[in-house]
Amino acid sequence: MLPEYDDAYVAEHCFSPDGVDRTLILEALALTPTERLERAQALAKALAPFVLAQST
Amino acid sequence: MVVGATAAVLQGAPIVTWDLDIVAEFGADNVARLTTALAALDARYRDPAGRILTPTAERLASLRLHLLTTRLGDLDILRSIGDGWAYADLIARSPSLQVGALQVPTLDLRAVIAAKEFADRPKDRATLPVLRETLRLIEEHKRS
Repeated sequence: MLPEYDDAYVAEHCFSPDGVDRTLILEALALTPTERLERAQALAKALAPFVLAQST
Repeated sequence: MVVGATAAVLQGAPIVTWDLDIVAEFGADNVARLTTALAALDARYRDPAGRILTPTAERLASLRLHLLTTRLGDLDILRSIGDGWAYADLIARSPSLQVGALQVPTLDLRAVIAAKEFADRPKDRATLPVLRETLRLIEEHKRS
């Protein structure tokens, strides 16, 4: 039986001891290098207006 | 070869980067190939003074660091990373990854981490926990 998905489970299994979100890494590792690059490019494009707004 | 954050992204690190860093080989033949390729990309140096400077063969052969903007995005061409690690030092640690239709030599994640540890700038220190955890999960996956 799977453990209850609660705060304790998330804290123990979803993050490394220094707070890195393992779920994002596991998602990325399931992709091909091409898909990883496409995803990073799409995210960078989506974030660009906010980063530019912040830097001015 | 691809180095830096994009190399890490290609290997599964969930981070965002705004440019592509590569380490190139700067022999005369390759400088000629680079010059042609960069011209096709409309490459210009990112100059805070706003000058329009193109990466000529002379500049490519003499400068250590080339911070370029191209019609496809920003591209940094480096002569070396870390403790003076140049193309010849890194190529054995840069397996080719399939990216689209291309085979792209990509610095392995352990070496990316070593270069960032050596650089030790605030931006490197901020990224290192994600890169180390990615490497740990890759190795754990290989063992299982």
